Amino acid sequence: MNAVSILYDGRIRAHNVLFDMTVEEYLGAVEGVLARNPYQRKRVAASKTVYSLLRKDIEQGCVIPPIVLALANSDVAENDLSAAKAVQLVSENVGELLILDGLQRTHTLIEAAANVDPLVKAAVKSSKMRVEIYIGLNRIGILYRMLTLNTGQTPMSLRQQIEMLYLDYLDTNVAGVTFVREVDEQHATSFGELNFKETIEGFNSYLERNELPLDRSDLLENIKSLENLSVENSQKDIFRDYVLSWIAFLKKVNELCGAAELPQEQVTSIALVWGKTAMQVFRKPQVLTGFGAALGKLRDLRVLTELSDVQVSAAAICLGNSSPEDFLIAMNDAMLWIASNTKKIGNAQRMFFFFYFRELFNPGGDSYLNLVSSIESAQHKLESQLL
Amino acid sequence: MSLSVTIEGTNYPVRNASLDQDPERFGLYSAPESESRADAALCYVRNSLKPAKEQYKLSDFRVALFTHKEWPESYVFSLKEGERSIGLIFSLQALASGSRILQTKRLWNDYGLLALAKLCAGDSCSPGGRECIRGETYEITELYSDDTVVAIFVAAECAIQTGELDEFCRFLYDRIPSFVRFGLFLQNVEGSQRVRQYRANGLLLELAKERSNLRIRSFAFDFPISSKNFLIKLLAETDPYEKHPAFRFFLYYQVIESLLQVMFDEYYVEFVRLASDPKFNRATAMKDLVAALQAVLKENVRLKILVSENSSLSKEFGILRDHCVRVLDVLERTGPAGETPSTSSAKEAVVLTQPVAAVQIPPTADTSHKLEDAASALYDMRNALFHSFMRISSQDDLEELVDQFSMTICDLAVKYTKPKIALSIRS
Repeated sequence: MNAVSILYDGRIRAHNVLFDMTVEEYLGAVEGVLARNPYQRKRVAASKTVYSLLRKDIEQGCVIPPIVLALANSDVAENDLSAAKAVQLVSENVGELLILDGLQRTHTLIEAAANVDPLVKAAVKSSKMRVEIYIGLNRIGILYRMLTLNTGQTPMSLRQQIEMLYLDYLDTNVAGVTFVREVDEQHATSFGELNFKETIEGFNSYLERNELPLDRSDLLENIKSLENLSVENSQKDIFRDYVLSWIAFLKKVNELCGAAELPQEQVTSIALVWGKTAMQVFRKPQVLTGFGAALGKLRDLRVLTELSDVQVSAAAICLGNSSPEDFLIAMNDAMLWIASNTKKIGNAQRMFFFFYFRELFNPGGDSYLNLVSSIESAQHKLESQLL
Repeated sequence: MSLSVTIEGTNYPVRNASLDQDPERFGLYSAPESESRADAALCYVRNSLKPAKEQYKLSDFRVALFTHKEWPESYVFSLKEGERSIGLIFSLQALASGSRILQTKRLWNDYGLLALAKLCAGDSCSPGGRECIRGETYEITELYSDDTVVAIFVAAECAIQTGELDEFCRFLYDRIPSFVRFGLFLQNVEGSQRVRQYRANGLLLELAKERSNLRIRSFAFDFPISSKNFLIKLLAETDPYEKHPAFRFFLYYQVIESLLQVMFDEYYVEFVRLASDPKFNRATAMKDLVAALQAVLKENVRLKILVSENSSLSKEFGILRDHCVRVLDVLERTGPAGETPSTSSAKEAVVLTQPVAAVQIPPTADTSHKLEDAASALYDMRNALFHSFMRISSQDDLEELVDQFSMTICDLAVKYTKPKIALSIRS
């Protein structure tokens, strides 16, 4: 393995080192990476065309384009990386390598290197290849590079990348919160549990200032969102603030409404009930995206100085002169209207909660911090938008 | 029609779809059913419906797609023709994974599942497709255009005997006035992108409130073929995309003119038949016969006869009349000073005493007089628009008029009574 060129990438503040190595050296370095490659999508199902052709080409000695890796969590100052140091860092930290671009080619190399013909096998393993490794790349930089490297190829969704970015949070507690993933086949039931996917979607709504579900958009359109993220994230971890704000809101609602339930006479059909209790009302994905988009909008309008302001103002939320049952009736009635009159119920629900949280957290509004009056205000705004 | 997906620049027609091992999605395949393999799926479509209770055969059903830009997700109606239930109609959005609408009833769930299966296989009379990533999972709403409404028909109840697309399309076209009457524009050649907004949704709202069925009828037996062919073309190919209400008015009036032309021809035939009768050998008798013919050949006279012979539509024509009067009134008020309005005495004779939407014309002895007024108002409207449509400042009034005109024409097409052709001669 030789480091033949070192360039500093000022955009993502990391070194880009071009290595020259044999296929065998490369496959040895990434052996563990393939088993735990959370940042990459799954292997594309065998295509009878492109990758089989590539395998044949590799066996015949073709030079494949450089594969791009990243060595995360390595702190190297701008002018402080020599070729020797680069080789040493990589050799000592192979377990920290991530494949940014070239997973499919890597699999093809593995297949070529396992050829039953010993001559072909030996030729493949000893052939040279180039590998670019980003050294000193943080998580945002990793995703940014994956995004831009991915341009023109099979795109990854922003949510996929955000999920990958915040994979670490699954294992650590954010102020006592535990995230539950769908793959765990569990549901977020207790107070401290949040559905990871829904929380991520809500956070996306904050970034995008848009309560609508993620749709498949041009890859390059996502760069702006990621840049917003990286700008804000350089000061503090906004995802943490977002989650803490949400928890602060839920805590207050729980305090105010407790175990109060929608009166039985209001329940004409269980299928039409949005939430029998306050917790059921708010523990839905549409609510989270509305919450995220509303806070993002309030920040853009400079009504909120910081996302963490919500953690303070949430403590003052009240029911006004209404009871918890009044709140539940009003909320379920609003959701029933949406279910009966809108073209896309899910989107209308998200829009409702976008208006709802804007009303709730806007100090200039008449429904500021009032759980009940914000419902009517939100519904009026929704009706004027949709009808 | 067909569904196709584009993957990495290559277009793949979808020929087959089946529930995956994971029943929460359908796999879409380019190979026919006998050849499809699990790992050859082009892409997948999410399914949130429960398994069907009965064993249905997909070939026993047909699916058509319509565009309606204001159809709420919660609206699901049974389709009825006469006393027969022939299918179900609902928003495509109800098939998306976040929707629970169809799951509230067993039959809805099953029909929804059948429709989803057929749409995934491209087995409908409407086109669909998009750029996809191989192996990815999509919502059905991503493969077909926005504002799509799905109608699933039971082939046997519709007397559809073959699996041929042509037969199904003929079935749909034969009933197209019934669909357009509710603002449902058939997606036959293209999706919904260019389709105009449809605002006259009072009927639909009423159906939803009463939890009623959506009734469809085929063209009336006596409705002339030439008029039928023109109307089908208008409803399927022109009206959905024509935004200007004045132009739509003229197009719908062409239907009237087409019917009047048929009457013209028949009057002529009647004249020729009568003229050969010896009693008309005398000059005075022949003169009277010619005068009678000339009287009925006037367009406004034939229009009055057409409208009055279709008294079953007195309510619809009454509402149309009131819309015409309203717009004529606006034109009169906005016309240049000194200009004599081109309206006739019919407008002066009809006084608008109630808001247009609330006017109902009961079928009383007075009906024939009111129907004559409707014909006159329509005729005057046609003349006024032809000369002065630029003067109409309220597009909303004109839109409402044309929407009502469209509904009236659609009703006329399915309830048409052929006018009796008679030349009344002074004895």
